[in-house]
Amino acid sequence: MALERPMPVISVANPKGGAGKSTVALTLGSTLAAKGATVTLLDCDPNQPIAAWGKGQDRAGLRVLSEISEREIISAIDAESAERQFVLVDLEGTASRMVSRALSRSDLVLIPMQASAVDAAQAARAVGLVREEEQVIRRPIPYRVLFTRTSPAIPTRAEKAIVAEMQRNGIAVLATHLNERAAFKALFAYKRTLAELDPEKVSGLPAAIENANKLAGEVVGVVRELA
Amino acid sequence: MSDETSFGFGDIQPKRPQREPEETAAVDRVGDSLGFVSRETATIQRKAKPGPTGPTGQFNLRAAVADVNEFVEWCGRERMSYREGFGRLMELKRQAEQSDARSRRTG
Repeated sequence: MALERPMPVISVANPKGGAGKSTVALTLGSTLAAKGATVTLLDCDPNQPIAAWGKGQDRAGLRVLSEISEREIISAIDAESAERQFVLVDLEGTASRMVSRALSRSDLVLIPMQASAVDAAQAARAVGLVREEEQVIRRPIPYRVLFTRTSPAIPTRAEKAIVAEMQRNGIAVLATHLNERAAFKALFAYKRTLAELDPEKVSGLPAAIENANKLAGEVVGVVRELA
Repeated sequence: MSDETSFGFGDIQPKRPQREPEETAAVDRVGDSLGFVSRETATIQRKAKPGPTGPTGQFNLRAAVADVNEFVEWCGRERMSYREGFGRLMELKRQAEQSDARSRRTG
């Protein structure tokens, strides 16, 4: 008999805009749903990119909820987590109470960042908040930094330096990056999942799907490890 | 449901222990101290109900966000207007001063 683990709430947070939060949340959520999981995506970004993506569409296993206020975020997470296997929270790219409340209900926080000093500074801010909240709620809030928009070919010197610095500072980093791929932008442009995109129209689609599967596999592995 | 997939999600079930609701206030205080403040003006611009008695005055103050939010939350929790909240603070101040004066007289 399989061991039952509490289902995970995964928040995607970085106070800096443009770090790739929505792309990570959508890629991860749609990949998990395509693999058979029940997934709720909570779009807490005021720009509502995932809500716009999912508007008027119905996909098996994938539910998109939006227009959630600070007051509602905790009850929304709790309600969804009572019936779905994964709840992914796409947070706004600012330091806000919405972010701090969502983190307090998370089983894993993914902190996407590009390999730049500006992103690293804001990612460190998110890590700082996670660590402070752990003291208050008296339980660990595991987190992983996730590099986004990296080259699939060769890591840049800046990227290597930032990864090395994070490791020196004991910051947990996912081995899989979400690479810079046209297909990840095409998700929003065509309002499709990776599996639904047309390989004739989107270059590098198989590599993007492989990247997304690898990322989802690593995240599921982390969830199992932490449970 | 998905044991057939390569991910095998069958072991991940929608069950979850309930957490204490009072921890939210503590989380908010930590978030505020690190600059993760409310961005919804409705939470800090609650309209005070008009008071029934006495003349009233008005002043503006610039205070630390954490203090402002703590005051607003306290007023909300106690279901009182800011005017009533401020009145209660002043009452506490008067009581503390009287207590000090009594201590000085008896000591």
